[in-house]
Amino acid sequence: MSNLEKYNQVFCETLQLTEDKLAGLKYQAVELWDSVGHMTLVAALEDAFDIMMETDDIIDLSSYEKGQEILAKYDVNFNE
Amino acid sequence: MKSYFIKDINIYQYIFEFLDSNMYIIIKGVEAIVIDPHKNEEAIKTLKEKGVSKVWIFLTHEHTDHTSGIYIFHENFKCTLICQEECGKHICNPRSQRPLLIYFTLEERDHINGTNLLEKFKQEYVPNTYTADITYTDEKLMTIMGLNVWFKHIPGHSKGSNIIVINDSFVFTGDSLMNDNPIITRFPGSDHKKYVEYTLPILESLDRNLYVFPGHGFGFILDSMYKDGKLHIEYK
Repeated sequence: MSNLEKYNQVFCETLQLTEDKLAGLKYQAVELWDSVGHMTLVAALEDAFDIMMETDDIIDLSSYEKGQEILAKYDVNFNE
Repeated sequence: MKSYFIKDINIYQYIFEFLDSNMYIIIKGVEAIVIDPHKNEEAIKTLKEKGVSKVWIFLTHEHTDHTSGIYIFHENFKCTLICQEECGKHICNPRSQRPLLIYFTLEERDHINGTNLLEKFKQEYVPNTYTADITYTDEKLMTIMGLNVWFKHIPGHSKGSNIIVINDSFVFTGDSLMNDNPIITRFPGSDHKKYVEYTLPILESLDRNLYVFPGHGFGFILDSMYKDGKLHIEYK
């Protein structure tokens, strides 16, 4: 499974969405992406990519696209 | 600080300024029970003024708004920390002890209210991990300070949640039973099915006259949460 597939899977499972809803998705745009859902999303991303995110990055993770930018800082390559 | 007087026992309630979580204190002679500690100078001062030297720390669960002040009691008193086994595993792990929900909630509040609470919290927060002195898997009965204490594991809100019943008169429920806050069963480590199928029957088996001290909000009689013969729980 590629990193992008893993990333999408985390978003889809945590927020109970289909992949076609991910592009442009922003924090609080769907019911399950509230502050509680955000913690679950962060925990799932950390587990999936075996990373530990900095606090500021956790707060900045405000959209599907922003999450990819942030994970790139932890050497998660989405172009593989 | 708010105080309650139930069956000859004084219970002091202190509210954590950042996330409104409750710390409770019971004092008897030179000993005290502290439940879900946060840093609070007034509480430390009161314990010292009353000559307390030994503190029993109980945790209702492992979330950092209920554990962030353990260190301050360790610094000032001889402490014994008691919690459920899963809670114990969580609090000794630096990764799971990060106060992420507090950070994120404060950032949201600052954004909405124009406050600067996140920065204040970051300056005050002292990262720590802890090793429990006594843990249990399912339940434990102890006599502490002459009080009968029953710890019972109730997973669902978190893996290491438990209730703490004292003298069959009152119960500390953490975030697993509150009357003016929904029960959150979708945190990492939460399990909604376990809460409904395992924990709820345990809560419904408790004496309805028990006084409940929740993790957030004020105390209430358990019976007040009943509707049509069942506990009325709202979930988030």
